[in-house]
Amino acid sequence: MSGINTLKGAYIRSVLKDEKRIDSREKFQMREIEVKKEVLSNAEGSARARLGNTDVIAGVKVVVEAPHSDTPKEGNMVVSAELLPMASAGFETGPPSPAAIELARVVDRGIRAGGCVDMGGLFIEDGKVYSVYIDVYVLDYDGNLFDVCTIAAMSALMNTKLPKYSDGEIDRKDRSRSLKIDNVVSSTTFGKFGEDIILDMNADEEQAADARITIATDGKVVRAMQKGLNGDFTIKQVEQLIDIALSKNEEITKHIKR
Amino acid sequence: MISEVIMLSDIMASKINKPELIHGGKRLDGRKADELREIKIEAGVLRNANGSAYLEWGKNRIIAAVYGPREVVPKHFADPNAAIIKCRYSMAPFSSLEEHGRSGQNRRAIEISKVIKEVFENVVLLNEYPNSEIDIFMEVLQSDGSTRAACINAAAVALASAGIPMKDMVYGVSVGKVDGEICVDVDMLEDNYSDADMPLAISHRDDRILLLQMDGDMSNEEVRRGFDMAVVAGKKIKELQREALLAVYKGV
Amino acid sequence: MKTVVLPGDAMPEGLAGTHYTYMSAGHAISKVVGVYDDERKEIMPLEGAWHPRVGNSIVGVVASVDRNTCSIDLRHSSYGVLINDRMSRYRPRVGDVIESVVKSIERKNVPVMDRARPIEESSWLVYVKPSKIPRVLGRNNSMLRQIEELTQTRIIVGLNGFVAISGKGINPAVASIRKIESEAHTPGLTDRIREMLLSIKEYDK
Repeated sequence: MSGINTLKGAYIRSVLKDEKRIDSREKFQMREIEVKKEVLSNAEGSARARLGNTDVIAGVKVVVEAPHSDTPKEGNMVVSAELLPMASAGFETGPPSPAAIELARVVDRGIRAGGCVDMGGLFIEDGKVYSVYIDVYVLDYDGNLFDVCTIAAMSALMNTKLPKYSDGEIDRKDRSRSLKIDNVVSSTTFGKFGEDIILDMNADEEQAADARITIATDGKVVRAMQKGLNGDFTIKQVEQLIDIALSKNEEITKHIKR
Repeated sequence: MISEVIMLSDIMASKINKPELIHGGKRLDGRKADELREIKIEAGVLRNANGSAYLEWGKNRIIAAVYGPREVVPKHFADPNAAIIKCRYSMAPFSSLEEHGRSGQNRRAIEISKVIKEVFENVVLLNEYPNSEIDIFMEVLQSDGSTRAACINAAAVALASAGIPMKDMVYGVSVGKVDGEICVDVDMLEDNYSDADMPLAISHRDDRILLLQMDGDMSNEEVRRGFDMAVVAGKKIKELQREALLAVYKGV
Repeated sequence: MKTVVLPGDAMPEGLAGTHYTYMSAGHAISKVVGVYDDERKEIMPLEGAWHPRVGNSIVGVVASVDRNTCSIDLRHSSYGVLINDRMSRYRPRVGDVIESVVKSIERKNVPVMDRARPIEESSWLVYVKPSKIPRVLGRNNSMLRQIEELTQTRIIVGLNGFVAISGKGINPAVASIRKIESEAHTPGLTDRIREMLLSIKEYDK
């Protein structure tokens, strides 16, 4: 499919020279965000998020387990991502691809480093803590999975309920206690074409980009970053992008908090 | 940890803790023996796939997508005389009310994928696309019993909406023996304590059985009654599948 | 009258077999989701793959180059075969986007071409479901001409689904093709596309 890339790449670059994009967006304009919470009832938390034509669903399962030995008084949190073969002709069946693992780890890092989940509140008793498993499923792919998966994962956590645990038994019918959320992060992913930089790439743009950077913030400080692809950024460019990332936080998190 | 898991499954299977599943002629969720749960189907829900469908069946939530006919990968699987079908049924780790599941397919999912594949190999006109493959993906986002029947309903709608030529449409439905009574469309709770469970896939036009599995105990007479109930319930399912497809082309 | 039919639906008495039906016990049965027109006595499929015919225009991507032939990715059930034209100055390379015409069909669904032209590099390529391509063209290509005229573009339509657009207003041309794709089965589309293009024309020029 490299031919499509060359042809599309040529046009993407040529319109960027005129400060335009193939879908007529501004350079730093996100596509429309749509979040639906509590879309599943078996899961302890869930959300479906759309960013333009990219469509993902996040489900949260809470289980009782032993804590990690280095954090005996804290719960566990695990983020996984699945690039379902139904989401794109380019996604294949089989074990998680490096791209899916990177995606999960970057989403995990933003939420973890952002101190979003009150990990201490997941402690039950010595040797017993709640573990929060967040699985993000990509259903339909049109670019920028980092940002939309963070939106879905955060939104699902926001409505997660902890099942009651007493006398060594978990009661999944009793979900009176909500998971405590201390902070809300947003992720913003930029793509670079030559010297032009844009926010929220669609699938066509993503195929043609030279470099990519994901910046997770809580609106005040940067919480996680990941640079991808084999192109590069200047220090100055990264500094500018951090400013833009911080300024976009409110626009994104209002969909998560709602 | 391990002992707890065993204990839990023991409790599930034991008849001692078995709740009364049918009371005063009604099932636990208020249904009659021949009554289906509430069903909603929507066709064409995904943009990238050639065809797709979303299905709500009781608490089941299923999404199905179809790609193809397209080039076979790897190439040596290609059949020079007909298209091949690949089928993937899998359950999301957050789909059940219980523990966090493993992502991807386990042995159960692989078996289900195989028998569903055989259903669609029957109705899809494979010889129209030699040397190509048709992919059917079914993802259980939330499970509440009879998921394979639910998946077949969604996949059939997805195939039709992809324009794949078929000699007929298919519906799926399960029959079970609950508290000794033959019931249609068993849910998760009933399935856990049922005496027998029989998932079926049946063709629309001439009621051919394309999928049949059964476990438990059922007499010849009970199986016969199960088939009858499945075909009666099928009328409603067929109608819902039709409506879902026709809704996409309302303006025609 | 037009009615939507589904796979397995029995067609009215007297309809002989067509490409989209099969015969069962003397009855024609539909194989596809389509519209049955009882005046023209035929089914037009609403969805589905491209059925290559001799003379069809195609747009595809060169997938591999061999001594005598090239494989062309047409997003079809199998690659097309381009027989290398020794008289032509154009030598296909992997990744080139080309336009061509189907010369013959082998093994039921493999399109064979013997001449191809590369599509210019400043173009944009979109993929449209082949069943929607007739709407992109419109009656006697009227829809296509309207888009080309209002957006000042040149559009090369492959019946296999790839559409290459070059010229000034590529963005609005793509937007109108996407709109046609999603509203393909609704009436009055030509006027709605015209309205849409007239309203965004200013912005993109």
